[in-house]
Amino acid sequence: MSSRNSALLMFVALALPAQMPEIPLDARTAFRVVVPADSPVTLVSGDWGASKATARGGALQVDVRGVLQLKNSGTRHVRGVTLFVLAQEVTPGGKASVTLPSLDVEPGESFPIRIDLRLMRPLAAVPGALVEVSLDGVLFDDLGFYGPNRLNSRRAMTAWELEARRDRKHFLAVLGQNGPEGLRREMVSTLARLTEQPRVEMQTARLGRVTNQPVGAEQQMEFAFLHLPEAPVDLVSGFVRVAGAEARMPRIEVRNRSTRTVRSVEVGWLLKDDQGKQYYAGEMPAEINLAAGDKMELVKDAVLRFSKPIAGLSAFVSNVEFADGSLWVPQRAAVLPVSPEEQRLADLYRRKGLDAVQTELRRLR
Amino acid sequence: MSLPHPTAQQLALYAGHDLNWFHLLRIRMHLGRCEQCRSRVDCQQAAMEGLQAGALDLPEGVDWPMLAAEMKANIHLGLEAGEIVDRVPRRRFDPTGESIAWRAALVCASLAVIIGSGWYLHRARDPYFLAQRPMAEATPEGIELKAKTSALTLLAPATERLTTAEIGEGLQTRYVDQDSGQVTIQHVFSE
Repeated sequence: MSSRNSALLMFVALALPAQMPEIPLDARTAFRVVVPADSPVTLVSGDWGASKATARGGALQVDVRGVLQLKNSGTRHVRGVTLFVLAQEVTPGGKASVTLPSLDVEPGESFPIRIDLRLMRPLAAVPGALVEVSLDGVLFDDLGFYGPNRLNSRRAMTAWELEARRDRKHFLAVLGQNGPEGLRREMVSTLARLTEQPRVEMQTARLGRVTNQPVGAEQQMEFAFLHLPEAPVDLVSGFVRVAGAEARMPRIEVRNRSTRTVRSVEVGWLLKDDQGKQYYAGEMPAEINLAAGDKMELVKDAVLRFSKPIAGLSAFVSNVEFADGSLWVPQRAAVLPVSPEEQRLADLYRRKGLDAVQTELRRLR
Repeated sequence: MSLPHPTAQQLALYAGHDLNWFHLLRIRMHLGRCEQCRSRVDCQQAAMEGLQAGALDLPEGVDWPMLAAEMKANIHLGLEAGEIVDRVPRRRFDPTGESIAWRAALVCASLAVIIGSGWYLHRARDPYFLAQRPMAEATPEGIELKAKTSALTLLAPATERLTTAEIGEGLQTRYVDQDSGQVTIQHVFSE
């Protein structure tokens, strides 16, 4: 082989990843949508036209760009839908979901759900669909629920719906008391809070049996609790092991101060970084069975890693689910995170103005 | 007192202007007083001029065509011998030939070994990779679930995106779809 040919082959080998040869995708076999026959939400169409697969060295990258048109075939208004997304190659436990909360879909009306995802997997072919999308749950305006609820979407969508009703009620009260200018101030304040929320990098995983110590000195950091007087569950004490930007093995003791058995609780985390900035980091859900007046310790063998060192942690009860299926969410408070409905209304204000927000609030009264 | 006569070699060097300044000055002083030595220097310089004038003339009786043919033959022989001798070293060391490709390949292979070793050592230090458990991670493109050889990324617009953790479960991100105006909430579950 001449030196020129050798150099050419090397150039081609190095340039292969950049060329990304496209592999044809058959949408009929690559994607599968499963909706039960008795579902109150039915599939009208599935458009995967913009999806493509490209070879990247020894791996296959699948860019899924799908839009599903669903129809409310039932008799009640749909308030939320959760789709379960399963990519068989990303196992074990590889699953995802896409949820649309704050909907108001009348019977007979159709609505779109966008599925945008990317799969990276070994190039070797695996039988079956690359991506399977199925219905996990539908929430109605009477808080009724339909679906297999494999992802516990009933609790999540009910909590978001209760928060949405709480926030719309608050904004309507502001509109009644302070007029459109008062509502404008609320929208501007919400947009500012959304902007202030830093886009932090984070990672989380289960620790399992891993006993390796994190890099750097580890210290035990106590939670500061936000006291919510009306909360049915009290946060008594809690701490987490912190090393730099990493928090692991949180332990929080809770007490049921209500008269009903609690089935699950979610504890929200507010994180303060080394520059004193506080932001909403996430929630710690726990399935429990806590009788009235009892105490127990919530323990997660999990690790949470941020891009900035952790200087402090606060916690609050973000929702409580009782044994009868009913849910409690806290009253509005400035320190609590912006709800999905508040985010939607603020975006509506930004794009279409105050009149559109007023119309929306009155429509969903 | 008179200075001793310079030697024949010193006079020859003087005639050829090959002495340093100290000896040149000393001999020049001596020549100013010594007729004998001055005549010897004159003879030396005349002989040198004669040699230089006749240097470009061919000796009488030289057969130039024959001499040229012999020189050409020797040049060709030298070139052929040089090619034979150079053939092996050229393949091995010539930086402008094929060896450049092999050198580049060697460099690439070495870099690959270094990068691969670093990657492996980095993985080995990370307890979560050691456990080979799926990990949820917020990336510039969205939220990603990474396993050993695969990844699932839920894509979301970079602006207006709020990403939070479901501690022990995975990650959540939410944004407002600019086409439909609806809030979209995505989850990846690490367990």
